[in-house]
Amino acid sequence: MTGQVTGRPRPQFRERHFDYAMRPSEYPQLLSIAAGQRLTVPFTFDTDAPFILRSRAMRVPYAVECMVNGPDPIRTMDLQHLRLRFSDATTEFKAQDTIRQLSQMAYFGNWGLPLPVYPGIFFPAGSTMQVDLYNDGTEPITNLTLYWRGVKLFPWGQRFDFTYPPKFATLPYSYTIATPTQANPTGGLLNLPASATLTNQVFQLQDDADFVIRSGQAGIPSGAVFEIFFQFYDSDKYPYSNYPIHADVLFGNQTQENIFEYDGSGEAAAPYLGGPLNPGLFYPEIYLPKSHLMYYDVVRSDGSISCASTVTYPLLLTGAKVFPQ
Amino acid sequence: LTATRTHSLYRPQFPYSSIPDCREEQFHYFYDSTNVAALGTSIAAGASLLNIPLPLQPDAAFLWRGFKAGSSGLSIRLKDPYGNYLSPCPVPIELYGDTPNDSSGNSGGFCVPWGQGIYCPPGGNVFVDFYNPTSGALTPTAITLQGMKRFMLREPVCK
Repeated sequence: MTGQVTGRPRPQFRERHFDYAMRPSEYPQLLSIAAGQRLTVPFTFDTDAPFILRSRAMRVPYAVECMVNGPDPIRTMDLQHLRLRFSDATTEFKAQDTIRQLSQMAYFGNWGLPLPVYPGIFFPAGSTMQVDLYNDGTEPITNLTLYWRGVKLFPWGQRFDFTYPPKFATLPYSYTIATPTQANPTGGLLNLPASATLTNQVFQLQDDADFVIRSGQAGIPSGAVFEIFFQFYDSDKYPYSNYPIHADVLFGNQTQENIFEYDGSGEAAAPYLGGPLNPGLFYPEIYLPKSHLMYYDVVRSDGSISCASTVTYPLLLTGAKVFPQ
Repeated sequence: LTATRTHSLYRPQFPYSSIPDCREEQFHYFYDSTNVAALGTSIAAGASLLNIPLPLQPDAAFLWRGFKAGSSGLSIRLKDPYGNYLSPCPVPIELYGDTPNDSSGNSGGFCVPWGQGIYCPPGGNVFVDFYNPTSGALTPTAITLQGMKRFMLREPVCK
């Protein structure tokens, strides 16, 4: 199909996708929230650009047991009793009390389904958000990570301003994260061990057309990979997140087993809302010229799972090829 | 940034109006082993089944805007009627076109929508490749192409 860009005043700033992870490794208060405990944790945003909060998610690590058929995630109620509220940069909270997050979002924003924050909340560069947490359950919540997703704002020209040519045609297209070869016919992350940190991996476009990344899907149907994180960078190594982001938050995978019990009955609905129909979105889309490259880091930390194995991990970046006309 | 009439840069999908002198109607193409014999072929572990034609009807152009395939463990690669592949290699169906809760063929679930879609000429063919990355033989599942048929109301030819 074809399109043509028409003139319209551009906005004051260029938006750029960015995710903040608030991890227990940097915020030790999140390592364990005792039953009945209330606490306030301040979170400071980067100083290089303002941020607009557009959505959010949260997770705790998988607990995995080794079964006859391989690793199997254990259902959890850890997050069921998490209550939370957060403030803007002026410490004005957006709720009068902490809210049970179970009632706020599907799967706690995992599988590419973050809870939208609309209208977006503006945070000046280097500003601080206050996060109130309350565990109203009888068990501790351990190793909690909160994800704040949105856009950074840059003056035009400060970052890459790649965009559509004046007139173009598009072709729906899905890139694999690695270039397919005879040894790697499906273009996945080949031979990814249970414990790995791969930095400066290259994702490069073909030379026939520009590509616009709009969404992603990742994961193995058998659910054999659990703690896996990605951090993407522009070609000048400027990141799209402050730390590596878990694949369940970034991408979604409808065949991953849902571990979040919803009523304590031991039942956990399959994540039927996720999947290629509702993939994890990049907003705004990331426009790359032909032959251009991005970098990414991969961290897999399944080393503590005795039955975790080396796998080829698939990741699709989906959008459209753009052909100038 | 905006684009003219028939192009939308962002979702929601399918917000397109017909172009002048044309009428567009929703249309689905469904393929399984009953109408494309190759889709009933067992694919051995590590083997591929390439260039299976999925014929389109000759009465009208098809604006291909969505896709759906049942979960099977196979990897899939599509090719439009002009010979353009839609991925660099076969990719897992579960990540590409298997719709939520659709674990038994094509029951339930919406399609996986695509941006602007692909204009397919009347009587063209879409092609599909399968690759079996597993250790056992697998058989392809049904495939659905979703979109619109574009009928001409009068000359000149719509495109």
